[in-house]
Amino acid sequence: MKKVTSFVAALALSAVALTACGSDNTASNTASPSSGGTAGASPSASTSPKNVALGISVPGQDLPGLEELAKKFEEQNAGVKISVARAPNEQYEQTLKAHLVAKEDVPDLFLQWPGRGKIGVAINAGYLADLSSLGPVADIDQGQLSPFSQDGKVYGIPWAKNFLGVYYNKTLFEQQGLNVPTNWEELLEVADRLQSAGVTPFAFPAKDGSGMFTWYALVPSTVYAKDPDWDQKRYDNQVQFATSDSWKSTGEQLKLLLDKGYLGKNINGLGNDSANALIADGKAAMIVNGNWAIGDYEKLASDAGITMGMFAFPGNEPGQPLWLSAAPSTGLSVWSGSPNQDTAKQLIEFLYDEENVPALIGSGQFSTLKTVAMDSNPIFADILDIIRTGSSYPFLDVGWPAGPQSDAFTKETQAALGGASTFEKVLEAADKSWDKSVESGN
Amino acid sequence: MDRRLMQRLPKLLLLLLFTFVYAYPLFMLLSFSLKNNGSMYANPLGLSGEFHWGNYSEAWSRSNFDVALWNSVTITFISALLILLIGSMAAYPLARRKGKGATLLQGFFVAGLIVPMQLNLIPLFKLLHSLGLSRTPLGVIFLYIAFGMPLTVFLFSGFIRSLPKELEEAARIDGCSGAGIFFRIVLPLMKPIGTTVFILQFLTIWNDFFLPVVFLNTEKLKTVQIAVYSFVGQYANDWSHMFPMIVLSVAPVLALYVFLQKYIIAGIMSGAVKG
Amino acid sequence: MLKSKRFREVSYAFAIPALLFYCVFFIYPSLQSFYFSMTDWNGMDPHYRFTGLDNFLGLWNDGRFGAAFRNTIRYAVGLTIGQIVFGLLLAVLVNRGRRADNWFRTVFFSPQVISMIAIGYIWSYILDPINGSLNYLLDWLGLSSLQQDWLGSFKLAIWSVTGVSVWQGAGWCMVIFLANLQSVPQEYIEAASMDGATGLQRFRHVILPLLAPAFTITIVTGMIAGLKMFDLVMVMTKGGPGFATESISSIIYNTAFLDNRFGEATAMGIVMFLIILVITAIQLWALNRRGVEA
Repeated sequence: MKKVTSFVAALALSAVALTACGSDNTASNTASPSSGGTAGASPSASTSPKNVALGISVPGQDLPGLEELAKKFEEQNAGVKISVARAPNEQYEQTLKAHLVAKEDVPDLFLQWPGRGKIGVAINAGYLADLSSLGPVADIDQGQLSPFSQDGKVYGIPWAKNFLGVYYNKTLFEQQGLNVPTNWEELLEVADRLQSAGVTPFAFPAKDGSGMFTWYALVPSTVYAKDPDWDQKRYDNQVQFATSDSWKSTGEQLKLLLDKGYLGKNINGLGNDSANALIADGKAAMIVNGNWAIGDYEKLASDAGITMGMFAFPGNEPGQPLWLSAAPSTGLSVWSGSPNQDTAKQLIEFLYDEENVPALIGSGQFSTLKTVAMDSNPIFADILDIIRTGSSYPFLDVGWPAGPQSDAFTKETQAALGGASTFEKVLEAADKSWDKSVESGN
Repeated sequence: MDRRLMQRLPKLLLLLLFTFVYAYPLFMLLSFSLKNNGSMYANPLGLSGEFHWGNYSEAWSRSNFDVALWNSVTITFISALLILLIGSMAAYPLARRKGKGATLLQGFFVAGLIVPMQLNLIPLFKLLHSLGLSRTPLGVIFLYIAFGMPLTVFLFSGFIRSLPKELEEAARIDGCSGAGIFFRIVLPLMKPIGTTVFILQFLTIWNDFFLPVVFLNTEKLKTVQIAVYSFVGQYANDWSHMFPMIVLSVAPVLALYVFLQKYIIAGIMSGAVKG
Repeated sequence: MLKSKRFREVSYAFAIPALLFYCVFFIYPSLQSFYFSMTDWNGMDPHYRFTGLDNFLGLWNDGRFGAAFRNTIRYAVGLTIGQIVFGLLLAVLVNRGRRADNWFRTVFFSPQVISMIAIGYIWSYILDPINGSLNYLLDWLGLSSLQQDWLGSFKLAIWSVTGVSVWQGAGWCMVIFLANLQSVPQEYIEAASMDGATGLQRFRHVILPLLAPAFTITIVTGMIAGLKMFDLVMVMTKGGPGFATESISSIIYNTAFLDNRFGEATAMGIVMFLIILVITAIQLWALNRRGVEA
């Protein structure tokens, strides 16, 4: 026994000794280009395009074709080495922020979320390079670029158009003789007919943010179609959530859906996957979700032997316009401190090349480039018109300071849906959170 | 005979109930790992349906699991062993010396028991980089050692205090050096608490996702947990690949436990109360 | 080097490596970020203002922070008591000296080796109100009146999350108690049986006091795990419904990284640190009076 312990001790001691020497070695190793990011940044990189190491960080499953295309780019550009790092969203965002602030190991290219509380913070901090002169910028609508811009300069290039709407069981609608609703009255009628047929109108996973999505989907028609400058007025303190009739009546619409039982029971404990299962079983007919979830519904439809469709959430009164809730996806940005900016910009132009975009963004997505027309998924048939030609307003967090969307439209809304708060209080919370966020300079 | 059975019956039933409560989620994990994306709820009790064994091989190859496994094993073992050694050494004087200095020093260590790591991220980045340790397993090992100190020092010093001093004093009279006394006499006596601390640290480090994703998120350096959560997406998760990865990440540790169980329990027990 | 000149006093040199690691990689970065608690930094922008104690004073009136604080205490106490009760129960059940015991022990210990994130995913499925297996099982047993919205109810959600963490932690406590139980000398038990004590009495008066070392370790680790509760909350409820399951760690995370109020989050971290310091000091004081022996 003595022997064993002294052996362990000796082993551990030698490990200490080894690591003590090891640290010196690794210190010199990090200068090698293999570590990606800035590590390969030798001063000569800008003069000769040879031996450039580009680091790219992306969240989750965004830009699914990135790895393949990066290889292709390496083949075409001798000396360029690209490393792609992926991390789940939260960790991605957190790590990237820390890299940027510490100015250590910053990737040359990375994705940024649109809007003031997201990319806006990085733009203000001066971390991003001006991409206005890049080729793809000219081929993208101003509406898609403005959430990534400041003072007329573009700092991020979005790769897809995202939108929120209602996925619905088309087969069930046909069986019940129902049409796609185009205004609030029709939606209530559809919901009523479904309910009397024993089907819960909406699967509503409030645990995973369905409440927030529904606010997002409703207000383009109920608030912004009437007053597109509402956000600016809120910044100028001319209006408030809690005192705006349009916001109050939107809250009442949500309350009506809840009170009539159109959303089903136990929604605060219901998760996304379970809600989808309700749709697949035909127990519920509609669900509010984004185009990014198309894969789930495609799979669900084929497994359950039903047809799915999607329409814009009709929050509008009859005779009023129906606006879509739409926003650009994440956008590709270049670090302003990167010594490889030229190569990074070349890579962006390569990735956004018309030929490469379909592979880059994956099937079923809507490219931001006007020049790329990809086949749309049949599920989107009903909503295509409004996407292509209709009016839309961005997701709420795009134009807003950080805060209200989680404090009020997620948390307080859950409380209201569970009967522990009211939709009036949701709006009060939104005002409070907004002011706090603006005050603290966000 | 019947009476004995009657006495045992409640115990046995309880045991079966607990087994169900523990085995069922594990069974779900296994059954999920063999299902398709989106069919998780197809059968609430998870019993039937097709089995997609291909999930495993696909997940393994898509995530380079062998690389991740090797990284995790080395980082976890080296960190846990070093924590044991360094922590036990530090606890020795803290436990044996009287007076304010020792109490203060122990308080200094214990104060770090709970500080959310996320908030120190930026200083840590700068620090590791200036030491040339960013994106190296060694840097992460050093961080684990630092984060492991509070609990380790706390548990070790409490334990040493409960050991009789006579042996150490006798050895000192025999002319043993301070280091000799520690490594030959005190360290072997610390086996029970050492086993406890080792398991605790091993599991914490093995299951840690935060440090690896921040500091080791590259194809060559990634750990098992990174491989597992590389299938988490923005709004939807790639379940059919994530669950097999979870099973694969759990299996080696569980196997190790099964294999070492006797020694673990004996280890924790060997020094305990003698009455 | 480690040789002490002073007779009988153990040299502090033993603590040097630990101090080195701890100070360089823990204390130093912590001190650096403490500075941010007195600023309005958003976590990104190099320009920020010094705001003194505003962040701390703001917390005083922040209902959300108060709720998270109360929840965290519930998590800590619930987890500690829960995992000790169940851990002890499991230890007694599998301490029969039979072959099958090893098998049972492995099953009960196994959640220990699964990461909290994975455990959270699995249990979210089980606790789903509509398609989850728990409600399905209750229905099947004819107990549908007991069906609940486990993660969606304002009252119940926090206890559901605590319950899952107890499920995870009880196996750890079981191993500690098992080790301790097996060290209880057989003579004690026999002596007690001779006195005619029943099994329960024997356990309470003879064995339980001898388990003090195991209690020490399980209380300390339980409190720490409970006070740090994060992964499980983020995966199972994201702090919802409303703020019903928010913990201090999860609110710090959200404030820093979702709401871009890094300075305020750091202030929360410091308050949490101070609170825990006091709690640990009390624990230390109480426990060190008898020492850790397991």
